Amino acid sequence: MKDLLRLILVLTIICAVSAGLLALVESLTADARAQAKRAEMLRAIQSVMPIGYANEPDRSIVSVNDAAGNPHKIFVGLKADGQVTGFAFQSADPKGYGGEIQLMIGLTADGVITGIEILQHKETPGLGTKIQDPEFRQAFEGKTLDNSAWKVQKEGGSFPQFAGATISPRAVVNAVQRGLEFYRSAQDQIRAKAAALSTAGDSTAADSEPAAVPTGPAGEE
Amino acid sequence: MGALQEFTKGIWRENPVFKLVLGMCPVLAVTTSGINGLGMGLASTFVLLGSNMVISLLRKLIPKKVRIPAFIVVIASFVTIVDLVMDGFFHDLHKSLGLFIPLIVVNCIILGRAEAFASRHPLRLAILDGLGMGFGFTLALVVLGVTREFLGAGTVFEQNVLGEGYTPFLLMILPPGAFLALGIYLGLLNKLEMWLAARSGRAPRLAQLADCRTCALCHIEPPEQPVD
Repeated sequence: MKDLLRLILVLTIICAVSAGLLALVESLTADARAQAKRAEMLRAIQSVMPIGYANEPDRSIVSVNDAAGNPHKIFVGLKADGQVTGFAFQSADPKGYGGEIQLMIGLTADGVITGIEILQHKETPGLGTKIQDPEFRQAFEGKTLDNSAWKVQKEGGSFPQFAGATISPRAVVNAVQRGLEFYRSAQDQIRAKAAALSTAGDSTAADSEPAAVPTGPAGEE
Repeated sequence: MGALQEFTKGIWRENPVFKLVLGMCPVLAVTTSGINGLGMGLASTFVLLGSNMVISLLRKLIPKKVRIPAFIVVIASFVTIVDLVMDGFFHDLHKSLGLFIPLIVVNCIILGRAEAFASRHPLRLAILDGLGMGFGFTLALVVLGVTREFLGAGTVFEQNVLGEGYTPFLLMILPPGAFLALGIYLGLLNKLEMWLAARSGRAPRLAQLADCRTCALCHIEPPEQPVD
């Protein structure tokens, strides 16, 4: 009996000390982790968003439901005078070679693609991972729902596939197409909410520091 | 055995990967590039050092009957610390290692060293053992990662060294390439060890492929005498 109590006591103490230590580390790293996550999101938005915005697009968010009632977050790019420059939002397709492919689409308000960025995928290194290459992603720039055939070239569409990898690019094409269809179905709502955001956020937009102006890749693409 | 040898044994004589053939899950899975191998190796080294230190300090307090759960809690705590810190400060590396960071908990080397060494030796030796085993593990992961990245992508630490004309031998960064690279290294190192042993007239110490003596979980009651 005494022995049993000792076993319980020692394990309990070890677990309690561990839990305390983990709570401490968790709270110490919380800021850094949130920042790293935000930087990652901001980088993706900046690389697809139409240039010319002066706000922090990852903080100017409108939420719109799609036809099935699922909420979508739309990041809004605003000029200093509150005019909308464009939108960025996420889309996904479950039929990648290794599972779901998540990506970020950037659009002008008219629904013309200004860039896409792959956020998450599990494709085969060296084959399917070519969907991340700028050469492939650039094929989407300037495309709209109507000016392109939303298939890979092998199937008579407008988008390239790779030798040995058709499934990954096809999933990307489907994800982007789905994103554009969602935008078309909800664009009135999105524009109205974005306009409300720009008037409401007038003071913050004027205050935002010049550092928020996109630089580097966003300007070049 | 001298203190220095407790450090160097992990790098060569008892290298966890090339001699003990332990912890094969991360070895095979994350060595698709040099940087992944390095990141995984250093993360495991930190966990190994931390768990060896704590377990060595607590070795007289932890009752034998609950030692395995106690070790696992200590190891899991260090792994979670690595996971959190890496997520905050090395976000991209954390993303590419992904699932394999939490899986360090079940890396056989770490529990193996806790059971076979740290729980029976004083702090100073446990630190040297942890560092040596960790560096040996890191070294093996970097060698495998660089080899596979070089052949499979034509780069070394993401620097292109073979030029645009090189057609990558893709298989090497796909899962089969891990087995090929590891098998060839194990064979070559066994050959080297046999040559060294023949030259100095001792019995060769080969990779313990079919030997479970080093797995801590086989010994429910540990032997009275230290293993080393």
